Amino acid sequence: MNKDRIILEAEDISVNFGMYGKGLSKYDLTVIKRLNVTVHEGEILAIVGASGSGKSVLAHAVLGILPSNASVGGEIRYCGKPLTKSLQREKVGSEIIMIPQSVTYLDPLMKAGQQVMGLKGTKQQLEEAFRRYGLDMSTEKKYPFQLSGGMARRVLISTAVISDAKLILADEPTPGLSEDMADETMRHFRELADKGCGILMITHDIEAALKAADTIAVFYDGMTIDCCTAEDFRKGREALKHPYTRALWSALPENGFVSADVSALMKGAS
Amino acid sequence: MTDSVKHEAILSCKNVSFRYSSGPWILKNVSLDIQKGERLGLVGPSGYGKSTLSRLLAGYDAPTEGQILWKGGKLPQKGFCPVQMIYQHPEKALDPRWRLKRSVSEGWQPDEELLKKLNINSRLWFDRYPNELSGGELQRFCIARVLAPQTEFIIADEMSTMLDALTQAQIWNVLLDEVKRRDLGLLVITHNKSLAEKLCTRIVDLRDINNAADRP
Repeated sequence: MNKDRIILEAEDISVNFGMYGKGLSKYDLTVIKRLNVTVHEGEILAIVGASGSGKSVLAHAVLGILPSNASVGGEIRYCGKPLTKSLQREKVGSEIIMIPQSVTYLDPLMKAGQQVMGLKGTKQQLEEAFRRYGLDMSTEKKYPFQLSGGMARRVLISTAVISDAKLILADEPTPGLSEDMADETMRHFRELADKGCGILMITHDIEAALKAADTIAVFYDGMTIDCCTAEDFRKGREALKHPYTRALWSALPENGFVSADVSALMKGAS
Repeated sequence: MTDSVKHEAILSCKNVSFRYSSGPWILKNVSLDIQKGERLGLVGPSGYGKSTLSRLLAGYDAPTEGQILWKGGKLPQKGFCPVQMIYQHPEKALDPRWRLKRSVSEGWQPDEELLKKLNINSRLWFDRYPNELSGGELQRFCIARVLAPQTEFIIADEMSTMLDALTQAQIWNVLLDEVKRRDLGLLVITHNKSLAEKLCTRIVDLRDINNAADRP
């Protein structure tokens, strides 16, 4: 494994959605203005930031699954090569794997086991993943509506971890999971990363993210506003530079639960 | 107010058991009293029936055995239900074919002040459909929706796991203010221990009160 090798590089990404106003008038809605992220081999990058700051849209842009009214600017490179439509078609699903945010991404008409195995997985891998995530083997035969929120989340994680992915895009992998399970997921991510996989994790659960991540990127209003090491975040407020990142730290329930006025804060920063 | 009135349970379940048709028991002999003015935290691993119990308490499902009591009687079957729920997945709680304006004003018309406190951009977001907003943005609509004047009890099922830490602190502070000001009951379901300790006056682990055997 080469820690200097870049797996994913997104440079100056912008995303616009074409929207319809009254009648036939059209306008563009910009959700991402300028995002920059880099994921190296063996690195776990956690993206944190306000909801609606474009975190999921970025992941969807990498996978090429944005709706047809979206236009993407800037450049995304995968292992040094521009991630074109044809490269996406080749790599997505085999080397680039997504753990979606919403449990509604599970096919409601397909049993959980089938969805986890996909086209290439084996029964043995399935059993291994289920055991690891504390899912009973009877889960295999269940449909998504029969699963609880946390179980559905674990099924989603299992789909990604049994593949031979080189890049995992995990969009909010921990909501609904108990602390033990969230810790186990983070440990597993670390193992996968140590084997050479690059992981981009979008999360609000900073507490869990800090247990595994190497780097933390902070998004706000469609821009990357700060990038720091997880070590800085663990040290506490004083080690952080950007006022938004500091406010984020102070807002954690264990650090005071302070709700700062973000717009005033951002004005002060710029 | 005498002591006996003060300690009367506002919402309680008495020996409640629940299962889907003839499946395994999800809840067995669960008894829980929530006192007036209490903010109760319900914790426990995933798949142990936390969400099921909250659906029963809000009257969305009927218990297979046992009773749910609201102020000593039954929950009203018609009209506005005084027990309102905020769900874990806002994208599943909103009608995908309704613009948000319609969803948010279904039960009452939230005032500008509340929308502002929740950071809801009413001018921009009201005409959108749920798939055009992020999970955190949708959840704020779900909160505004349930804060009608007729609401007396709020069940928040993992409502802030989709939110960033700042929004989480902001929204909880707004909701806590409302709860305290209007003397509402509150049941918080969460996996985040530090959050539960911050919000609640009492914390119950479902494992200690649920007697259902084999769990996932």
